[in-house]
Amino acid sequence: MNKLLSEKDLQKTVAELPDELTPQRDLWAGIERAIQTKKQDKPSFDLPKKTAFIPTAWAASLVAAVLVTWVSFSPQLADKSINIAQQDNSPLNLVIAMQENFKQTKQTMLVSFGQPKVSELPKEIQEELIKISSAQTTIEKALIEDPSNNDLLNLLRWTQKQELDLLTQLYSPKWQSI
Amino acid sequence: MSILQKVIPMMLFSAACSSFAGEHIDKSLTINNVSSVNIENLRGTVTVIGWDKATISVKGELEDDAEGLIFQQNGSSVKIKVELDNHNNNYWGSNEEGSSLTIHMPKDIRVSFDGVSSDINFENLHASAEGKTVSGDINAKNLSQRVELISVSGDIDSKNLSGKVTLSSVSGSIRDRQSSGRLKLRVVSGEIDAQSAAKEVLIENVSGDIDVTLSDIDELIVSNVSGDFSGSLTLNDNGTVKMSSVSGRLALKLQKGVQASFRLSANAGGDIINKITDQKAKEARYGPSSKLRFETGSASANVRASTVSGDIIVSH
Repeated sequence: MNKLLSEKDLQKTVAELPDELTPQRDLWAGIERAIQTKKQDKPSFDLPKKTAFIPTAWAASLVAAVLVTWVSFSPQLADKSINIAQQDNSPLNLVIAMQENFKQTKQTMLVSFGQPKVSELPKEIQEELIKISSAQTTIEKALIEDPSNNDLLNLLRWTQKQELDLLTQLYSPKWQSI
Repeated sequence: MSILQKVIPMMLFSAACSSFAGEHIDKSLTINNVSSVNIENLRGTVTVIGWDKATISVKGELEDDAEGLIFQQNGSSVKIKVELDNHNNNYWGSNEEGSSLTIHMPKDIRVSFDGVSSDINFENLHASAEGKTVSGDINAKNLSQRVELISVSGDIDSKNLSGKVTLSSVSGSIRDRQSSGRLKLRVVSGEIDAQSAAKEVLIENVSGDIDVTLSDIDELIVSNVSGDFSGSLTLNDNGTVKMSSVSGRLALKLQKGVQASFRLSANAGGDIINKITDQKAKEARYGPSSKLRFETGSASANVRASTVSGDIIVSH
């Protein structure tokens, strides 16, 4: 109850307070002096900053120039940057990546089988390998026109797997050992 | 007497463990806790038949160049392998020169077969059957669960397969009858002729020709490059057909009264022929593409077909 009364009193006292409080002395003179001093001081503060900035800018320009020259005249980096750009922009790169991956896998597989000569296979088996290979070429040509066609990508993956499976089946060591 | 005691068991052991070139085989093995049978035969013919007995029997004749036959249980699997002379480089050969074996095994055990020019016959197997050969033919009937049959230049002839069924060939032809469940058919340049009750069918083809009659389709997916696809089917309510082709023709014949939404597109010169309704394809003002969209009945099912330069034909 006391608390309520005291709050009432507080409100009353607050209400009685004046809206404005005039300072006892004129403060403007001090404020004006402070503003003027800051304006005068400003050049003296900026000057060291500028002097520090100029060498940094020169150094940055030099580094940038070296980098630009390096990137432009280094063939490996240039190719890489183009590849990265293509990877980012073209779905055709998925096809290229699939082809590369397939070639590497096939090569590794043939090495593991002792690099057998495909020309020594029976003629009919060679014909099958040619059929698979030409099917891959057909699909790849279609993919150049429509590189994001999932059905074609699946077919390409399947024909590649078919070729690898066939090589595994043909050259598997189990047929050549007791 | 002591010599005989040593020699006789050795002779019996040798007879049990190995068979020799050109020899007639008649062996059996009672199995316990076996879950799979793995068979390997380079050339010849192998017939695998499932039965209700808990034994595996192998009968037939080994080829002349065979060193012997492995027929043994290793853990939970049984291996049956025709061993060839290590110095025999002509390991392709013809099937007439190869071994001819008939294997009976419990029908509820998984089986796999691996060969090069060997023919395979699978019959009455109901766990899982997997067969791979290069130039051999594959015959299969009454198989269920998981069935995967792969040949490169050989033909596949199957009847009454069910479950998850995959049949694939490069240049061989596939002839399937009365399959059910989920069916995958894949060829590169071979032909497919299927009459199936499978509800889910996936067909992948590069340049072969495909002719399928499907009776009860929930989902049909056809990926085709330059071969021609011809399909006659009953499309269930809420079913889906998705077909794509590069230059091959897609001809789809659906049941009368089919209730589906059709979206057909030809991107570079292919024709769209609609024999279900009177609506015609709209050709793009600029360029060679054309599209056709129409609905029949409640349009609960979906039919999508796209081609680059092939033709699309839909009819009853």
